[in-house]
Amino acid sequence: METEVLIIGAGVTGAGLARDLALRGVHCVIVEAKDINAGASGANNGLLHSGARYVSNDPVSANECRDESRLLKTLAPACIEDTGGLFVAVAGDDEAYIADFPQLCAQHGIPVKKLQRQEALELEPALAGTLIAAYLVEDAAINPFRLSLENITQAEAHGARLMTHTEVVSFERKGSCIQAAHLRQKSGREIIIEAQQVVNATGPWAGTVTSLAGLLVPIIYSKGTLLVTQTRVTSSVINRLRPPSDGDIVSPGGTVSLVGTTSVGLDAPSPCRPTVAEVDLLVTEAAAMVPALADMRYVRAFAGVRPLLAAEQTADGRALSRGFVVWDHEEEGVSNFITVTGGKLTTFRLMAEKTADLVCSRLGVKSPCRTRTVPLVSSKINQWTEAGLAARLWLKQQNPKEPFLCECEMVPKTAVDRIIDELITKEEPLSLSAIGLRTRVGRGSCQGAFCGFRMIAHLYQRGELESGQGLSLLRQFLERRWHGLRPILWGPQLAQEELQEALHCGLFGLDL
Amino acid sequence: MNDTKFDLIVVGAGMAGMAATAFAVGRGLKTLQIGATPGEMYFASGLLDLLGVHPLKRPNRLDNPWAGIGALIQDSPKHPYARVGLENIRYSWEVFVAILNKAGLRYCSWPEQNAVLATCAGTPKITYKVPASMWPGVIGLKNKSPALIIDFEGMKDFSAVQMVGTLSSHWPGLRAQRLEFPYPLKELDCQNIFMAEALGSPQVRSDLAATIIPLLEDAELVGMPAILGVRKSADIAADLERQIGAPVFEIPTMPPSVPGLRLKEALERELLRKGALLLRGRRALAINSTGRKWVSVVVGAGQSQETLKAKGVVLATGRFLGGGLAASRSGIHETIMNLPVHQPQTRRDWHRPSFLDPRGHPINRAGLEVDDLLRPLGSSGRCYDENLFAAGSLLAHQDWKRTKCGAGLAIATAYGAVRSFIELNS
Repeated sequence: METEVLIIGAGVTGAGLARDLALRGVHCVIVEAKDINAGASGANNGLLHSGARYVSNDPVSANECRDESRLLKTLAPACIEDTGGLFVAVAGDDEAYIADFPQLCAQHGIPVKKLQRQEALELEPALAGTLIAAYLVEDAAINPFRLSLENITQAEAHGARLMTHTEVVSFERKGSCIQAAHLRQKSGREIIIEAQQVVNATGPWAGTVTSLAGLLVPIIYSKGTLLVTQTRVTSSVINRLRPPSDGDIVSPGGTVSLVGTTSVGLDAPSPCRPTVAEVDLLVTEAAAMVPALADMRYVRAFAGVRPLLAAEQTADGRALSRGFVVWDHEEEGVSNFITVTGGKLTTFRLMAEKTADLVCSRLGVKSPCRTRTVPLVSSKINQWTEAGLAARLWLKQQNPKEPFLCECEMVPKTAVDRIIDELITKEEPLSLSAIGLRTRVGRGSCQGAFCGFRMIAHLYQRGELESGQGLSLLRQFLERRWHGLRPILWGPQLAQEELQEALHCGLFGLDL
Repeated sequence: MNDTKFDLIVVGAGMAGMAATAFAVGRGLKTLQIGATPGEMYFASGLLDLLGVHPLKRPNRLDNPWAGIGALIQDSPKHPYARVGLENIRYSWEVFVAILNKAGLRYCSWPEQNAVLATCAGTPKITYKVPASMWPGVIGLKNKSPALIIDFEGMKDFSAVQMVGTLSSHWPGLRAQRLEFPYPLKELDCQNIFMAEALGSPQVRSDLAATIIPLLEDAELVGMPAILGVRKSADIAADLERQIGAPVFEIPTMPPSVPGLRLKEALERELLRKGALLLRGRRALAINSTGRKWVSVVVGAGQSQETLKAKGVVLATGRFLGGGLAASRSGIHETIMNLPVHQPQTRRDWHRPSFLDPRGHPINRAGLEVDDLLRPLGSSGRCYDENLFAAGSLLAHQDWKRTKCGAGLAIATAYGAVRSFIELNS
């Protein structure tokens, strides 16, 4: 297979880059070892930063976030819920930091409005009574799954090609060039892709990929754990008004809230799993801002790895810049290889633009970046990633003949069928996780106990599975969901787990 | 009811509560059973597991559950089975199966041997006593007889194709066929319950039989989701078999389970007939010792509360799903009296890294510690009350989901509790 640009990694950076290049008329292939947003792009708080969070310690990120969030709100409204955000301090928080905050925001041109205590409590009744300061900012919620999917869909419409579950095994060098990449697919099939330029957009795995070209990229792995509540607790993004630390953001994710994050150093990008201690820390810290979070039902925890780059290492990675780097490996003797890493969800477009600029200058492509002006098309196939959409559509249509395959998230059979058709057309491997990523099946409070089984039944019914394939898919799916369930099992979610175990182990004997 | 004094109050309407009430009225005790929700039995598959796996470590599937119990008692002296003892467990099963039989629910089993049957997931399930309506499936699987598995258009939690595909290595002679259910169903949820109700009609059965007959070909028997009626299911099955001309068997489904509902209805009828009082939709809010002779149970629903008195109480409130135990981030507690709960040291130790780890999760073995008479221990380490007993999954040192002993645990400990009460009060 041949292409102009091989992009490794289908997180939001790779997806954004594919769209950027495609809009400039450059052909690219994205290969992804797992699935879309399998790394940090799918494990974050879905926050479109106004920049206010970084005013005290990371001015570059603050400015980038300010510009990019404004741009994305106009260009990608389907992926964004413009909730607004609050920075709140509670009794005991650092008064000096509170006092400096509006000034620092003003310095960076980030709009901020001081609220009276009563105003803030009226706006967000779930806030703690111990509130001592509140500022209104332009934060918003962004759906990272829809964002990546829409970028890829539009890139594909312009000729790009995505191959998931396709891992780079080695690079074939010719002089200072990478001539071809050797890849292995999940099915075991091996393929070779010849590309003029190779971009490594693998986030925390950047160092792993560069090492295949004999290059060293020092990545610092910072694990961030988040929690998903069963119901949404605030209408806007709530940030703790203090220097960035653990459990200081509660962000809306459609019908749920996300509580994050922690920052713990890791030696390697995987495995990366949330722990009981991290969950407890998050609940305790976040409950200081939003007391209801202490007794909330959580349906899941998840953890992602932030890829951080820095000259000097610090203990927890908080102090490191969240800025990004476009690393030209020409100086190290590989002339057609670029690594882009670091950065944030909010700045993904800018990262893609800068990377594409370098790629295009190398290719001699003159067309300028268009992602600053061309809106991100929203396509129907990607809409099912939106929490609560299925329920709203159902209420509107009230079609009693339309069965749900996932009752928690009210995902109808027709939606699942469209996604399955799409996966088959694109020759992507069928798995419950692949369907769940694109439809929210398995993301509700049953966490797959019922819908997991039901999806397998449906796949057999459609003729997509034979013999014992379904059992191994089901086991895989249950084990994957388990990583996120295990640390949040108390209260009603533990009762739910007990039912799941009674069914899957007691009755079906999947443990034997 | 305020002034009535009972011999025994059974708190809980799952399998253990049902069994305890049945044993108590069988021994002539004036018994009241309290059930919090209408749905406890919807989760019961209808199968009566005794012991399917021991030890878990390897894990070893047991051909002979009784020999397995012998080994289990040796290996785990704190297991509730060890408290009840092999002879009592045997006796409790005889009595309980006889009660079910009398209530119209016939069960089949191999002598001294576990049975294996196919679940709707297509997995082989190890169990002991099997409803007569499911038994032909056990024989069919054993003989690998050619069979037709049917399901119905619109069913979400049952797929004959899935079952047949998954079972292909265990039971190659299966065919799957999806049919239109011969009666219009208004609801999309709980379809199996509505189908079971509909099959009470002879017309619906004839229509179903007529659809199946041309599909039989070489099939020697016909399997279908467990929907053969809630009441009179034996008659319904017999009628269908006669019309089709081949044995028909039911396959256990996801909840809500028709065989579970069948158990509930049949047992409740039988309990009422024997003079038990069944209180439904009430929760036991408190249980208090009132001196040596009486235990009082405060029950309530919404605003209204009343206090009932009995000589003894059997606590059969289940675990987290049943509501007998509850867990917060900091620990597990018993919900009515805050009895001490045996549990892993910290929440980190509750669950293993792999969900399907065959050893089971340490939290599964959390629960109430009891003495040899199945009386929960108080914080002193001695029994909390002379006449307070516990039965079923609430008990510590067992993992019924993994060792496949749910019904056995319920029946044996229910019997043990009632027996202890009678011994102490005679």
